Amino acid sequence: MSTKDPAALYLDLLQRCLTRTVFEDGCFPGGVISAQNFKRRLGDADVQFLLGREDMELVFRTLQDPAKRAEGTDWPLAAETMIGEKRMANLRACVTEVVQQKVPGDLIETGVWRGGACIYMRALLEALGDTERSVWVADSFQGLPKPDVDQYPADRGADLYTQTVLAVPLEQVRANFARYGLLDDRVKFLKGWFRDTLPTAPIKTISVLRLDGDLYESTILALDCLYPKVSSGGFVIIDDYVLEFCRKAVEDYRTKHAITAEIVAIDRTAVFWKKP
Amino acid sequence: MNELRGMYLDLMKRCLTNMIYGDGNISPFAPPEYDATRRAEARDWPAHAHTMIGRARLDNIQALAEIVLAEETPGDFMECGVWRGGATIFMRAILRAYRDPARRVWVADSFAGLPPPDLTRYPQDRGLEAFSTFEALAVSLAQVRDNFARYDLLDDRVRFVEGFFSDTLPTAPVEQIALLRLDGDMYESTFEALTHLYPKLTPGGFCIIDDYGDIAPCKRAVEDYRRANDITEAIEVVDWAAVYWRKSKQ
Repeated sequence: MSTKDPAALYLDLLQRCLTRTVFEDGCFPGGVISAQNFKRRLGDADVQFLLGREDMELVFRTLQDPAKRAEGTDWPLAAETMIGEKRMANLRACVTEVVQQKVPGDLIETGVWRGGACIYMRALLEALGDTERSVWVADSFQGLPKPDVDQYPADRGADLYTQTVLAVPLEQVRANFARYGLLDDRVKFLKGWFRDTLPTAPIKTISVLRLDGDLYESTILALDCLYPKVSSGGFVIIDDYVLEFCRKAVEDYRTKHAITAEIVAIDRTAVFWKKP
Repeated sequence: MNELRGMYLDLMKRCLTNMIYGDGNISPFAPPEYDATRRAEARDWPAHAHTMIGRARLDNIQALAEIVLAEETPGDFMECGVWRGGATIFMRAILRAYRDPARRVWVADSFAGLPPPDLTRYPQDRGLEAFSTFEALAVSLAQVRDNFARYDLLDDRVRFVEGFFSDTLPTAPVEQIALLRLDGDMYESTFEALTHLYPKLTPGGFCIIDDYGDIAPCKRAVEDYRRANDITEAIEVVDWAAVYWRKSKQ
């Protein structure tokens, strides 16, 4: 292990930081439970009073499970990313290949949470000696939208918009970049709902397109607006392929555009393919 | 490549001090909230971070190690009194980053906290009785090993010397030292470490004293040892507490 070059040492350590495997962390199992659900479980009148307040919510905190953190199946209390070590390794492999093979285009993630994967992308460019590409950080920075079931019936019942832990303000994401010394003018923020920002996003060419918007709507919008900009030899990563509405968006888009590139599983949740 | 080495070691320092996440303080001498300035200046005991020595002292370790490596001054790196192991983890990281092929990192500690003062032999430690009661200062060997492993820096070039210094240091199997860091706080710990290890310090190597500026018995041990052994090399200040000097090459 003493043969690792400084770039590998740096990236390995950064990955451990961003997934917070270098320190003990906790997680929100099942996310933040709504007050209504707690009321059903708890009888104590004082607790009921507290939970009845609109500004209150209860959070279970449990210790991190290394297996879950590797697979990216928990919601960390402190880590900047929840995608886990396997998807971080996949991102590293994709960015490394496009830089080394000179596949043109910027890197983008749509749906960034605390920014961990985007921070890693910026670090990868630095470690690989790339001096040109930008990292685009696209998010509402206020959580997921309510399902628009008229336009996207596949999203019926998707209640992720109620998960306040998924809403991370832009300022916090910027601070997370800065904490690693990786905030500069090659990090570009696209703030707003995807339907408003992606159709006119001032991004020309993409080499790695990482979709982490969970919903049918978020996924199909990102594919419609951005897939045509992905260079030949570039990668498309779908973080939430395990979610039915997300997978349906991918299948619909691929069918409509006769995309047959092989879909490769990263872990139990995510997939990617290489654009021919 | 040099720049990436710097980025790696910079991230190590941010991580070891946990200035990335900013955890609270468990020292009885400061408020419990995280404070970045206090952390950087080594004025708290972090709840989770792997070192409490702060940024300037980590920078100092790196600067001195880089001199030793550049000048090829032979010898291992060693710390006596390691707490959660952060400074020694950083030493191993420096060796890794510079692809040093041979030097070891010696990690000497009781792994059970500080000893009660032995006032018969070392009356200078009077007043430090409370140190041995601070459970937060007692970190097990298993935990320190685990901390090395978290950074993927645990290998057979990391050597642990477990026990109170008066028992272990006289026969510690370390042969030659290029970077010696003393963080034992007390007169006894400091004086024993100097007595048994300073003769093994290579000329051109460095001796760092973590608590020279803030714990009077520690400073006194250094002064007594230097006087008894005619050590006149200039003492350089690292920050409000730590100092070092370089063993003369003659």
